[in-house]
Amino acid sequence: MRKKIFIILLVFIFLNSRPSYAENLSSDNYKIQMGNLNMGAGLPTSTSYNLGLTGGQTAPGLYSYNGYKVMAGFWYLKTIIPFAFTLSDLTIDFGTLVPGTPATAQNNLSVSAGGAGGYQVTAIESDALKTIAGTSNITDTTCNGGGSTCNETTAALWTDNTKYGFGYNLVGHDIPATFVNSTYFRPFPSLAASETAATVMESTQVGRDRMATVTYKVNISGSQAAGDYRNYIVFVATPKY
Amino acid sequence: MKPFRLKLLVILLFFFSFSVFVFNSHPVSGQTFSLSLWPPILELMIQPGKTITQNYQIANLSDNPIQITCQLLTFAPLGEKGNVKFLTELPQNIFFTLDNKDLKMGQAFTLDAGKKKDVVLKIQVSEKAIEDDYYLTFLFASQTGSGITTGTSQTGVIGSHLLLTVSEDGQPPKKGEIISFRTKKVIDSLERPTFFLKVMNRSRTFFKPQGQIQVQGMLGQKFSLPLRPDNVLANSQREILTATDSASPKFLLGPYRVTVEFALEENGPTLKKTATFFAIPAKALIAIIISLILLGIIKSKEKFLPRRRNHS
Repeated sequence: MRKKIFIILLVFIFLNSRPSYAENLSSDNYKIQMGNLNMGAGLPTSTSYNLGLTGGQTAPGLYSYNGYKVMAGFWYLKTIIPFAFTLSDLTIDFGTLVPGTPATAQNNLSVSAGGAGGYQVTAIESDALKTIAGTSNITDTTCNGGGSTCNETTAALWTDNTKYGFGYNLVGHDIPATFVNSTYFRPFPSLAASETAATVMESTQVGRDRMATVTYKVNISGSQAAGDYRNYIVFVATPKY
Repeated sequence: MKPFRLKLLVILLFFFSFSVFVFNSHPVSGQTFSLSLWPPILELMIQPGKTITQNYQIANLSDNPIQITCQLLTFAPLGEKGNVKFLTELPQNIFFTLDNKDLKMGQAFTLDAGKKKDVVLKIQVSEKAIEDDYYLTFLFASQTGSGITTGTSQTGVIGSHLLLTVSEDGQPPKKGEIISFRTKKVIDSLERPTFFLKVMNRSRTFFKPQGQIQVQGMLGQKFSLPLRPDNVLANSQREILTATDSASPKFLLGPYRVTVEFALEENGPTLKKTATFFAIPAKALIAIIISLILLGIIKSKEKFLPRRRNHS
């Protein structure tokens, strides 16, 4: 009899286990606070009037008198997490490159977006890696090519050491789904080519210490001209509006 | 000036200002960029001819001093989830300067490790400014890294959005439309229902949907999920999320009618749409069936075993 009860219980527990969900905007870090204003950096001031802050819906008469109304911060959230962005290292040095032997280097991106309805981090490079004179460059990667061709929006497998170029991989929180694993790469969009910055991290939820590791990879051919090759990459973190 | 020449000039000016913004500070090596910024967003409605200042507090969270440059860029919505793309044009007849005595827009300043600084943004709206919405981002950029042979220097930038509405009467008309509201037609009784809501702003000023999704079952079950009041910018679409889904009951059964209803502003016009779904206890039924089968097997074995014992 015990055996029967055990089996029945086991089946019920297995099949009726409720799936767990990532809570949509509910954690210890904030609470929904409709209608309350969340000011953290001082009151606005007016050269015309000295009335300080008005928040939410202001009566038309008061608006006419003040000449403005302001809401600072996400008015429906009372948060204990500030909006913060960290780049663990501002220099990525590959050292001396050896033809056919890919060089890699890493840094970390970290975002805390407690006072916002999520966040976005974008990245764009100034140009391809170039010599200081600008006479020679290392082109952006197209990955393994063929069925594994990558571009600024789609990552692809880059394991073939006879395929040359410069690209990056992402591992961690809130990264684009196109980075299947650590062997998937894509090139940075280029400011010089008037391309749109790529989103490298994104979330619609509040979060603390959301972290992603960027692996930069460069591989050159034997015919690559000697010299130091450089560019710069701009990472921009903004909250969702 | 011909339009294409004007466009070229605007693009060149944008790249020039962006390059100045990024390169206007001294390069450093082996440094971390870690800044926090408050407020992350500022919503300002202001009359033409008025001036206002707002404090932004920037804090250096890294272990090293950071040289910072600040700059304003306009943005447009990108996609439907609150992302932005920066634009070249700056608004006409609205002037942005810094009200700090020791600081100018685009001028680098050093913020020591662990220190905070108030950067005061002064916004002057000319009498000639057109009544409209203007969307900008106040950006704080670090110096670029240096000291590399072959590699890449990096610049970290953190930004705060400024949603600026210029309005004489403070009540710009707001008009919206529910583009899509749907849910899965059939769900398991133990599953939490999920809803997809997309809203279009057909006016020239942004609004926040203020309302909820109400779910009502045929057996009288009822619960509601408040909508997250995210901004839907002028002439754009946005996917609206629920603020929480924890109000969903743990067990749903039968047909349900779902109504989303929200206002574009307090006491303003409301938008409403309905959908339906059906909750079936599929997992529970499978569990019962499997249990009955197992019970049957056990019973048949119990009947069979004594006979075998008797035979032996």
